[in-house]
Amino acid sequence: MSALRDIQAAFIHDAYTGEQTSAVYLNKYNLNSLERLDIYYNNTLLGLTDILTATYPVLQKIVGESFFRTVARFYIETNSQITGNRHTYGGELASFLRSYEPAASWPYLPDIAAIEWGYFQASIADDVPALDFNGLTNLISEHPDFTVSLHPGVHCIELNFNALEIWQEHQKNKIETIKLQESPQTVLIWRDQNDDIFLQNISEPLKELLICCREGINFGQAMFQSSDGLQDLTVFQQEFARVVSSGIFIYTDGSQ
Amino acid sequence: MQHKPFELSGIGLRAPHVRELLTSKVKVGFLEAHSENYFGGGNPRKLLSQIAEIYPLSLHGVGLSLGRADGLDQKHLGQIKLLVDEINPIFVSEHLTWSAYNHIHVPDLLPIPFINEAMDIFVEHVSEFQDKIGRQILIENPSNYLAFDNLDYSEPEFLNELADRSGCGLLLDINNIRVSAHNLDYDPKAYIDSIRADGRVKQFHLAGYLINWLDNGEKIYLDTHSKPVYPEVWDLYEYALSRFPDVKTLIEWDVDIPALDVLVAEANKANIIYKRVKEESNVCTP
Repeated sequence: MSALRDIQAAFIHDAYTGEQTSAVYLNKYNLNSLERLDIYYNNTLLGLTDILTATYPVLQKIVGESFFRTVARFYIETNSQITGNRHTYGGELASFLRSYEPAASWPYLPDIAAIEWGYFQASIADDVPALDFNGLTNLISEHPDFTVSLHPGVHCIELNFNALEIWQEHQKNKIETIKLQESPQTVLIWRDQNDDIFLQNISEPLKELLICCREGINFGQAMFQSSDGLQDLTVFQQEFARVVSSGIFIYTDGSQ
Repeated sequence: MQHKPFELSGIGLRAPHVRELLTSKVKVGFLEAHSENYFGGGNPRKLLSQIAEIYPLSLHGVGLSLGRADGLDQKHLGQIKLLVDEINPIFVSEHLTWSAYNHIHVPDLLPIPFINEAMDIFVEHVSEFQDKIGRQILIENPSNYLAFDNLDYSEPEFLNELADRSGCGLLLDINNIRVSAHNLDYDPKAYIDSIRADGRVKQFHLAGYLINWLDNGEKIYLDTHSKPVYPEVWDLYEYALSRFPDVKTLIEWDVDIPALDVLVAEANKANIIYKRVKEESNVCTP
């Protein structure tokens, strides 16, 4: 008998490719072993397709079930599941769709996929206490060099089309036609303290602030960098107030 | 949280039923959640905590891959520990299978060759799991579609020795025994007779399978959890109860999930059989 590692390497290979390299390890008196190996290949395809279907409902609504399953099949061929946590599978679908030729007539699909992935990740992100206004004010007065980070439920995504509008329309029972427009924008997706998910277009300065915070730059410096060239301070203040009150920042005491 | 006493059979906790379970006290012995469905935070985790306040809850893992030859995923194990600490489940269980190797996973439970090397790995990983969460886990027998060559153990022998060496308990899935016995052509009652009745069996699973045909016309049973429990599985359950009389039972249904009352009705069937076997054993025992 070969080492267990050899058996498992062969079996995993077969589960993703439909090949039968592990047949050499199977009971030779069982004449149907080769056909039975296909059960594991089918289970892998079905299981991963189910995960994608659950994560990308709007995408499936747009392209139809049959086309979606074809997309899933090709995606699975090049994207293995890399953890046993099903919530982590499917994050590369937006990127995959950008180069998936049969979907070229829907150029906004990668945007929709990015929104759906961000939405799903926001919904199941770890629970972490967020900073409110008072907490932020206290930090400003007590720790001038403090650093904040973004709550794990916060996702900032770049879109090329008016995909947020399209996604929102697909949340309704009766879907109206939306005119596709090429319009680069940044969408913030986050989960608030009541576990409600919000999606909102944000300004360039706020986007810059969030990037700085994510990179570990201290809050004062981040505010300074993001306000460079600011056109309308009042609008930025209102936008900033809203996201702070929604709990998008967490205090990391500079250790991250 | 205190464990509440439970005498009735349980049902699998599935998302479509959560609201109903929270708003009306359904008469079931316990609920069982798939651990991996509740990794992370947010609403699913909060709902699970609310469920655990009302019903005894067990956690059943499907993604740790205890049989993998390249070591357990510590992050995954850590997430299970967080869940166990938060929920304080009545049982924690996993499978006698594997699903990952060399950083590639599958959403399936793959068969293990019952060889000495696999035994050593299982003993090590089950012990590591139990040490991490500070309590005993239960190991469930898998459903099998094929067999390996040159084995050192039969499946019951493997389970018995694993329980001896690691101190784990056993979860006997009666449906899996039926499915594997058909697919690999052995006697399911002989399988049950081969599992030692020394108190290690703590839980039964019951479910429905799908009958399928291979291209050569051969009939194969698939463990889909998509049907009511088959009569032959109820019969086998009764047989198993006579050998392991005080074991708690769970109804699993994961695909084409029916209304909650259908699941509860299946659990009630198990309760009737459980009560009958218990009464018969009391009559036979002076």
